[in-house]
Amino acid sequence: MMRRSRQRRVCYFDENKCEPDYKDFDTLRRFVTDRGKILPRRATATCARHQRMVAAEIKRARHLALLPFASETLTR
Amino acid sequence: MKRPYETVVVFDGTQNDDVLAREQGTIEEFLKKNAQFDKTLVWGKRQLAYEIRRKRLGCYCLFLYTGEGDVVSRLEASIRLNQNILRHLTVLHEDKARAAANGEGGHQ
Repeated sequence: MMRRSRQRRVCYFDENKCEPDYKDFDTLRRFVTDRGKILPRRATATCARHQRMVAAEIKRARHLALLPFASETLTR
Repeated sequence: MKRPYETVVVFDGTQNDDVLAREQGTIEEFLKKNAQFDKTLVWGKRQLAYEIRRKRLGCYCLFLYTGEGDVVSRLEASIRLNQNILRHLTVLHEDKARAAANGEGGHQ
C-alpha cells in the first residue's frame, strides 16, 4: 500500500505574521465554507490559538453583516 | 481607567449622503465631548451580507477613541435609539491596547 506523504502545513496567521481581525473579512472568508459555516482547523491547518481567534472574529464580522450566517440559498 | 476603543457603526445605506454625514458628525461630536477622539475611518457604502430591517445596503464607519468605560455605554445607549443605525460593535482597539499593556509592563 502506498503511503501518502504528509505535507507539513503551517497556520496561515503564523506564516504571515498577522492576527485574525473582523475588519479583514476577505481573509476570514477563506476560513468559512460556501454555506458560511466556520471550517474546522483540521481543514485549514490553523493553530489552536488562532482558530479560537478566527471563530471569534468571524462571529463579529457576521454581526456586522460583513459575512453571512448562512448562504443566500439557505436563508430564502 | 482610560482604554482605546473602536466602534463600527453600520448606518442605513438607503439614506442620502447628507443624513449620513449628519449622523456621523453627531457621533463624532459626542466622542469629542466625552472622550479623547482619535479619528473616523469611513469604509463607505457596502452590500450587507444579509438583510437587516429589510435593508440590503449599509454605510460603514469606524470611530477610534480613548475613554472610560462609561463613554461606551452612553454612546451605545444613544446609538440604540437611532433609527438610521442598523448595527454597531465596540471592541478594544487591539494594537493600541497591546502597546499600552506592554508599555506598562516595562515600567514595573
